[in-house]
Amino acid sequence: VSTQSTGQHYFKRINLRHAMALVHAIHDGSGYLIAIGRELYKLPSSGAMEKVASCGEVPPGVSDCEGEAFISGIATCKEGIVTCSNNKLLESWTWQGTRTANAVAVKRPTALRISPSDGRVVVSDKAGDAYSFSLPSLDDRRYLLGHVSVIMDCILTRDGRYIVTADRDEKVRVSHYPNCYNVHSYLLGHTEFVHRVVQTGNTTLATIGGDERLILWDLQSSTVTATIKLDQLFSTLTALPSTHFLLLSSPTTLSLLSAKDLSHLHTVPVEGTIVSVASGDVGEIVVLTKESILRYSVSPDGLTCTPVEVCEGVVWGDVRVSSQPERKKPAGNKGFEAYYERKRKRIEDETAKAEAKVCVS
Amino acid sequence: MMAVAVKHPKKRHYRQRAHSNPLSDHSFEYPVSPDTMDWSVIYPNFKPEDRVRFCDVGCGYGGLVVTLSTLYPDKFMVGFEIRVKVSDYVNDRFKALRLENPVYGNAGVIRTNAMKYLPNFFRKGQLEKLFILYPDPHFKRCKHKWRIVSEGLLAEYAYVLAEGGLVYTVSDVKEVHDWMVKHFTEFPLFERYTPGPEDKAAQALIGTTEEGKKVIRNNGESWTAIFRRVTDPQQQ
Repeated sequence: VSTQSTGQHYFKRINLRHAMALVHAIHDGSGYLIAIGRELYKLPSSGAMEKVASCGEVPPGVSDCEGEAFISGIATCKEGIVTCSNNKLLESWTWQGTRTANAVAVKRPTALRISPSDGRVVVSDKAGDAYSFSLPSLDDRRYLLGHVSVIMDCILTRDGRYIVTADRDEKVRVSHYPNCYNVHSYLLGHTEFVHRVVQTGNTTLATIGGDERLILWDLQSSTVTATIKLDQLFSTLTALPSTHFLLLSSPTTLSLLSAKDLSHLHTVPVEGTIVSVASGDVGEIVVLTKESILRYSVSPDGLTCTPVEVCEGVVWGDVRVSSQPERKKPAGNKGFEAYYERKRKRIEDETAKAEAKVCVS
Repeated sequence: MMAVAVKHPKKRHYRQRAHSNPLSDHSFEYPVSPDTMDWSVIYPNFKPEDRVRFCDVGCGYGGLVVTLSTLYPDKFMVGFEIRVKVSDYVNDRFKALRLENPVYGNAGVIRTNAMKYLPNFFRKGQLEKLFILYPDPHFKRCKHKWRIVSEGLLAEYAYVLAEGGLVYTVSDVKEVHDWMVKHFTEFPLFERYTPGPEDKAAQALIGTTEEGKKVIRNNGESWTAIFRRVTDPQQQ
């Protein structure tokens, strides 16, 4: 019997503050978008890096946007770019960098995705809710689904039929899309929060969680196909498109694994502290550290690194690494121990009294 | 030679404050998935192919589960209760009842958080009946997320219920009853349902629980609403 026992949780605000720098692979493989602070840059597959836009500027009259305005999420589609910033602002842009619309997210967003089936932008947030907006106007907000705890990652499957949401209560929920009220299945197996979900094949997903496990799932049967125990808590999980590779990153290393059986292929150290990783073109990844951009070409033989020349005007500033979410502490059940102790004593006293009565009579 | 009478637990030893924060991580034991749950710990005669079919969400002192146990002797049923002392009371109550009459071996209680862990215990479409009796109103707007009936949670209830399965709701607070009716009827996978007289569970709803008896004592009113899990209108 395998049961899960959680300890007494000392309530602390989960610090899900994202890194102040992000790299995002453009949907069509044409390159990457890089966010440093509130500035958005484009790094094409060949050619120099150039600035696209400055995000996070709160429009006049809008009151709900408190917090630092660094970019915390990016999504792209044929029509343009969507960004969300830490001050809860959602913005949509043309590829030329003109802002087309903005909207205020209800709570701080944790993931931003474009739905393949209807082109809407899907947002998951710290309150545990997911909702969608139309593009490019960012209106027509629709509630999709809700978890009881923080949604730590959210993806739409490539065929657009499902939305997968991973939460802090170890659950990965697969719901139909756009009828998200209809849950297809729960993928249960992690014993701590699940903080990354990626799609590795047409019907397979991979997840990593606070239990330091990497699990491969079959979507159709909703079962575990493979699972490995990692030796540390990795910060990112990336699936390399059109390959059978998975990439894990810790603050100082990159690890390449097979997406078929999770066997370990290579681990390379990286100079600097890794903040964000993305994979756009086949066999290529771009890694953002606290003060550099590195391009790696990936093959079964290993990873080779080429630093990227950063364009003028980039200010790295105080780029932060996102802090790890809290694990549920497996502390003792102090509250009930006292209760059960009192109960045991009460029953002892009652039995003693009853026996004393019998003796006397 | 003294005859040993079965000692039933006394409620006054198990009193506990009514409100418990369902959003925080209390210490709970719960299975990683329904496949790993050993129900024989709760039901002495549980076989691996058996399934629990009824669940009372927030069963309190166990009044309904005890009544349903004799009305449906062939079904396994469980009450979920988040409060330590109250679930302990129900556990002791069943221990005593089973000593007197083994028929109560089909019902039990688990201390857990129904808002978070329903899918850990039940497979998709496993339940035939779900009971939500006298849920905590959580009147304040900031506490609405603690309510056991919400747009987000309805998807979970629809998931654990079989198509055609029923949710029974009761409240003595009109506002809570209206809230539940509104949420369930607006949800695409539920519709309002009126059971016939053969539905023994519907007949047992009021007057079997602590809360229900208190309402009757105070000459209050209780409102009931029953909903049926239907097929997704949008599913191909």
